[in-house]
Amino acid sequence: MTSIINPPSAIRHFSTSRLRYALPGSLAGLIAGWLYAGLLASQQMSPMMSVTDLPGDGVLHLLLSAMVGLVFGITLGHQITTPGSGLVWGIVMGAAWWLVGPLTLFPLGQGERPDWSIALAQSAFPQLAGLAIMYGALMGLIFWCLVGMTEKPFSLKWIRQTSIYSVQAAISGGLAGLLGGWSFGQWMEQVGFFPLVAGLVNSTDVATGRGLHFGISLLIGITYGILFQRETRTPATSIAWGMVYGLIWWVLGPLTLMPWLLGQGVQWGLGSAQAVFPSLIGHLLYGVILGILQALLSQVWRILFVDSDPLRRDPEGPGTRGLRGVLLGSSASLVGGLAFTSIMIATNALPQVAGLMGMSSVVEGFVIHMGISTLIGAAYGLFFRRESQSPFAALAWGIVYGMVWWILGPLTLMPSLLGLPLQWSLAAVSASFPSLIGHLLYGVFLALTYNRLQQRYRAYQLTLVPTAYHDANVSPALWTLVVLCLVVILLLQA
Amino acid sequence: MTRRWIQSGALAGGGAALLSLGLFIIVSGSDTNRLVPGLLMYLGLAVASGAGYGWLLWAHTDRYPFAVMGVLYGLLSWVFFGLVLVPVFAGLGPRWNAVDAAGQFPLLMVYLLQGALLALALRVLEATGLLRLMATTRDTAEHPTVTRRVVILGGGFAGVTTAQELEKLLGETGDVEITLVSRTNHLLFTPMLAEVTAGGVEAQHISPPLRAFFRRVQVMRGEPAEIRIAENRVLVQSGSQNITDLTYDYLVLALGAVPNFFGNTALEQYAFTFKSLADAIHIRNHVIDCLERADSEPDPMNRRTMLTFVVVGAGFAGTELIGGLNDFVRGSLWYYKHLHNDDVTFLLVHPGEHILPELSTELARYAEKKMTDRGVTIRGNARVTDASLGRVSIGDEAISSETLIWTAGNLPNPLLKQIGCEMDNRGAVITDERLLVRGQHNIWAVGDCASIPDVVTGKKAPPTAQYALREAKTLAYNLCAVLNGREPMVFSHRSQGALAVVGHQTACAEVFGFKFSGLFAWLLWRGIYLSKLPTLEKKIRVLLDWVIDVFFPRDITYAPLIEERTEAAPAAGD
Ligand SMILES: Cc1cc2nc3c(=O)[nH]c(=O)nc-3n(C[C@H](O)[C@H](O)[C@H](O)COP(=O)(O)OP(=O)(O)OC[C@H]3O[C@@H](n4cnc5c(N)ncnc54)[C@H](O)[C@@H]3O)c2cc1C
Repeated sequence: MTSIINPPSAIRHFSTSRLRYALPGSLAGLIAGWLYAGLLASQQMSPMMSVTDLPGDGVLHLLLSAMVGLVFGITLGHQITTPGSGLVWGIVMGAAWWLVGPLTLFPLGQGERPDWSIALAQSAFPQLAGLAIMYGALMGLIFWCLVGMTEKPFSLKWIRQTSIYSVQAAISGGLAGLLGGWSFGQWMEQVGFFPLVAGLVNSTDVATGRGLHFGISLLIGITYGILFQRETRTPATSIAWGMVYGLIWWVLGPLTLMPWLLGQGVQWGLGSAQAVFPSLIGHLLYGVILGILQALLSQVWRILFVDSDPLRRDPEGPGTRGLRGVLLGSSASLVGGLAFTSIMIATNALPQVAGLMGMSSVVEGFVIHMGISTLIGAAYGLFFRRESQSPFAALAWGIVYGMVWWILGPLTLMPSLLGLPLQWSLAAVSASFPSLIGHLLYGVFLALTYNRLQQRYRAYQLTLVPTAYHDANVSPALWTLVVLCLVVILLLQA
Repeated sequence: MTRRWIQSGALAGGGAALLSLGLFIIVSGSDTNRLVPGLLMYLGLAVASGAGYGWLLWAHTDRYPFAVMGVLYGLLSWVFFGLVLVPVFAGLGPRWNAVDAAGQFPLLMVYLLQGALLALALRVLEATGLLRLMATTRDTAEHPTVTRRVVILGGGFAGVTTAQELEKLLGETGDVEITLVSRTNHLLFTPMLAEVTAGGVEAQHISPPLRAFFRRVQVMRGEPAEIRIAENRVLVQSGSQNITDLTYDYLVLALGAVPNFFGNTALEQYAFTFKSLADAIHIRNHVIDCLERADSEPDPMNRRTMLTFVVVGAGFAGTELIGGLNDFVRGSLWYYKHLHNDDVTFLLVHPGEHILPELSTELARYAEKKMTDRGVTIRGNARVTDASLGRVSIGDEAISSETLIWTAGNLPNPLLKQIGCEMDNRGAVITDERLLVRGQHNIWAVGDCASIPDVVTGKKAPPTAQYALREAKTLAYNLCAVLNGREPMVFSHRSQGALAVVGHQTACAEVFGFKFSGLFAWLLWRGIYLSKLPTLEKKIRVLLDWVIDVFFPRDITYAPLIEERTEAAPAAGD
């Protein structure tokens, strides 16, 4: 059980395996920093951006970029094996740098005392968007390219093989994108967003806007499929990927490309972000749907044309595990549901839940709430049973799951069922903030209990299921990005 | 170990909290006086959350980058402590809203930092070996590493059921190790063995793999080479070289019985035994071979010799076997154009008055009549005394036959002799009514290899599967009781009856005192034994076999044997 590492050998191992990523890391940081600076310069912003700027110029910026890249290469470089992993780890690095740089070092450098207050964070919002999504993502992708080029010689066979897979991934991604776009479109229709989109081609026509919207959805879906073809193995994990991709496109779309194309320049300020807040929820939801569908479609493809995944064959007979997952999931949901109930009682939300069934009392609300929570718990057991290998993974997937249901439930499905408009506006989301806390608690308690219950089958399963399949080393990045989503939401709310 | 993780988690949590708070104060230049009131609470919570981290998560971290995990944990702590617990305890009431949460933003930053530092601190503690130094002697005393070992010898009904029940009874208890040693890697469902010979059921379908039964029991294929009870150990030989040394705290003997020829070497040399899957397949192939040769044999005498089949012993095994074989051979004759029904003789030789001594005389007589009608000759009060190639002697009479099948005698496994515990005259280990071997304190015995007092009849428990199963259940209970310091119980079972198939779609039954026979008894036999056949998969396979058997003619393909190899083409130039 003890995994005491012998320090000298650990250090030796560390130095040989990780130091070789130092150069590609710094190089990727430098190139990304240069591109990023170029983008900012075109917007008449100084490289560090005006808000809490460091005194200095482009050279310092490039130096810092290279340094961040160096740290990135050494600490996270070995995790990056696919464009997808490059992208998300890059963003994680960008976000971390945001905490260290704009929130701490830059103010210090200017002789100020950063108090880590929400005001400071809000004023540094442009840097969050810029550093995490632009600089970080670029750095991650470039790093992947650099390492890939040196480690994997491109042969004709490799290219042919890759393009076949990419075409498949693009097709399923595109289909998934269209479907996700359709659901996002519901909201856009509701709030009359299409004319705005149509503005991209100098029109105000709804149909043009809708056409454009679907075009963009298709494009996002296709790129999603291509970028994450290796990661989206199960619909469950793909949810997180989709959500992250949604977040990226929220920054890239309504905050960056759209205003830019409309001639307004990039709009990373807090105010403009708050103005398009509902579309953040829309993007996240779009991402969830995109993720699930893309994974399902490529699973079908894989089963039909690649391999029928013999390792996943249920040794205890087909369906046994799924069924057990459902049972354990619904049992675990009791704990999660009760944790959530405490918050519902505190905020007096139970009568509103009862309203779903046309009732109004607290007891009825409680019964309905527990019923829903059982269903959701069963779904967790069914879809996340393979991800719940350790309490830690359980915890993280619990957060993800809770958050997804917060977006799906009180913000989307519940108002739809009650015949109300979608609750995506800043004010509405702010009002359902307690529910977010409740959902997070629910998810965490559900997942941890599930993990506990599953223990007795675990030893048995570990021998049968190859646990360390590919996405294992990327999931931490995903979890962090979900945290990032939460922080962004919080920043915009206050 | 867990304790150590909790301790170091708490320590690291406290340290990380101090460090991150200090950093915050230095960086932000906050008014320290303002922070003091909440300081103790903050530290207390940090220690608690650190302990929780060490307890729940740290053991599972090696697969993930630890800093990321720490940050995530920080976020959760913030939600849990900062947003939920603290406001409630501070009497602020539930004021969860975005504005309040935003007010806690600095705390979020501190918590994120704290989480990362906590994970880092634990990693450093572990990597430098400090974690190990922190282990106290109490730590090891709390978790006794001594596991108790139960070794079960024999993977038949008795052994497997004992292991299975024991596993069920022990549940999650972690400190008991169960090992099942068996020569074969499957459980043989003997009641259907006759059907394998007769070709109604495939051999694999009545032998579910042992490993399919268990979660925690370790299955070891091999034979005990030496059992040293003085040292509480068994040397198990698996493969030709490999000897494994198993020490045990409790030993279960369930080695079953072996055929007994009463020292008659001629019989031993020429007779087939009928006890294992290989036996069943050998007999089947031999019978098919006889049919094939007889079909091209011009001499009618020789032909008859080939088609005379002698079965010795009219217990369940012998009776069911000859019934099944008789149907098989006569049912296959239409494939062989030169053979006639009259050429075929089936002879059942037994020493008693009636066949099936386990059943009442009345039913036995019915069975005899049915079998005679179908062409089986029954020879009671007779013994096979000698055999040579193509000849079988029954008393003074010599019969020409190439097939002699021996089911007349079984002896407890001779391996038991080397143990040196008390045995009855047949060589079965004598146990008390609690199944503990007489004169031993940690050796138990069940099944055909044991001589167990039957408190219901006052005799010895009969060597049947029915009894073996019940004995095994009692034994599992007793083992569990002894492991937990409770009293073992007395074995007691009242026979529920007996069922025997005497031929195609006919059986005799004596259940709870009711006697009946015919198609219903046969259906009952099939229903009961199908339900007893372990694993759903095998049940379905056997059911399918039965259905196929109804609609298709007899299958006269040789069953594949391990020794058989496809002959390669002769080398070029030969
Ligand atoms: C053909 C036939 C039909 C039968 N029909 C019926 C019936 O219809 N109803 C009924 O109640 N009973 C029936 N029986 C009797 C029943 O099978 C036995 O009573 C029962 O199997 C006894 O169980 P056991 O576990 O004691 O022995 P077994 O089932 O014989 O198991 C002994 C186990 O020990 C293993 N073993 C033996 N020697 C060694 C060694 N040296 N090293 C390692 N492992 C070893 C064997 O591989 C086997 O797994 C029948 C028996 C036969 C042969």
